Amino acid sequence: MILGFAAAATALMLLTAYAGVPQDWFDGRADTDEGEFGVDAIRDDVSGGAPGVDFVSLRPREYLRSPACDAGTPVGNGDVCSPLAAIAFECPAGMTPRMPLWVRQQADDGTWSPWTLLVWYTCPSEADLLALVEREWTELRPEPSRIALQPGDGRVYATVPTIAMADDSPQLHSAVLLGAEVDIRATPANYTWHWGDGETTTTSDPGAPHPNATVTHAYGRALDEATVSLTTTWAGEYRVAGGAWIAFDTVIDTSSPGVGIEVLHPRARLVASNN
Amino acid sequence: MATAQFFLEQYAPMFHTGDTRVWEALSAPECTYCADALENAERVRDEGWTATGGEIVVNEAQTQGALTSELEASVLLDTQLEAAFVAGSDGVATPTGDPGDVTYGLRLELIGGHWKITGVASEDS
Repeated sequence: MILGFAAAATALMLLTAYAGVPQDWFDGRADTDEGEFGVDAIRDDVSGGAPGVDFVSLRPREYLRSPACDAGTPVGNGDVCSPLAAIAFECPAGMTPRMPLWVRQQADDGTWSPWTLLVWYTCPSEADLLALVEREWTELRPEPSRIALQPGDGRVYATVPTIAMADDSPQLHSAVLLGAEVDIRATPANYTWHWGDGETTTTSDPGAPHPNATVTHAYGRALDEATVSLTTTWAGEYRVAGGAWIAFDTVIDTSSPGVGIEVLHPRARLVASNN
Repeated sequence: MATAQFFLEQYAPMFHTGDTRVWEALSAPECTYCADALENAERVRDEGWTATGGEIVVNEAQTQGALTSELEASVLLDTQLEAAFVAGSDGVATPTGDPGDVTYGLRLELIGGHWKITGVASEDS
């Protein structure tokens, strides 16, 4: 009875396991009912059964990336030739063409066939370039904005507005990607001031000095010192080969080093007059 | 042939690690076998299951290949397929593939200067 119960429990566990993990999900084999060809078709290919097949089984091949010479051979194959000076192969946005791909094959007597062209010059795709530009942007680390405070001697007065200003200069970065010249421009879009007393201010205004101050903060009397820090959110644009600027969809944040300040608490006091 | 061999050798590591990037980079969009294996490996990873075994060991002395056009190739590979297991969240390892000698036929296409797998067939030897 006990044995029968144990066997039933084991069977139940196996059923549970098989229900969760399909058996044929990790077996390495190809389904026979979904492929458009079978192994026999490949056998025909490699045995020369298919028309137009270049049978190369077990014969070493060598591949070479090289510019083309006037005679239609690769540079560096031992012949005296010069690269085609005017290939007239221009890629979009000034990208550098990929060099031709050449192939040669070793015969049974050990000699090599002449190099033959496999793929002519090709251009990198514009999608590849855009992906690299996006990556360049996301990995860009602009210099954090410089902070300036007024009063600027490190001492401010409680209840009196402290003036904050950030450097709003755009930052430029240039790179050569796939042979194309790319410029990237980062511009401050938003500033988030952390005043050091638990309060923050977010604004697109970089601020202005006295008497035209636009970004200010008045400290209360509860603290004697604070550290002001700034997070700058940068918007970005890029241009390729000096073309029109195009905006990125994403932004970058940088953090400026904090500035320590002393908060003074002046009090009015009546004093005796000698007059 | 090197690409085809390397591709098959990535099958088991993809299931073991959940890292599908190499497999995806070598797979052409029309490859059904590639897409099915990718989907299954992602499922194993996302479910938190653990895959072991399943290695495809290529017998390098028996590889054959042919260029069927300037941009297409066919490759025939004899392999030893190891037993495969997947353990669910309960830790119980379920056998998911039988070991054995398997012949693979692969079709490849030169796309953007890189060989990619466009189809895979197999049969037990």
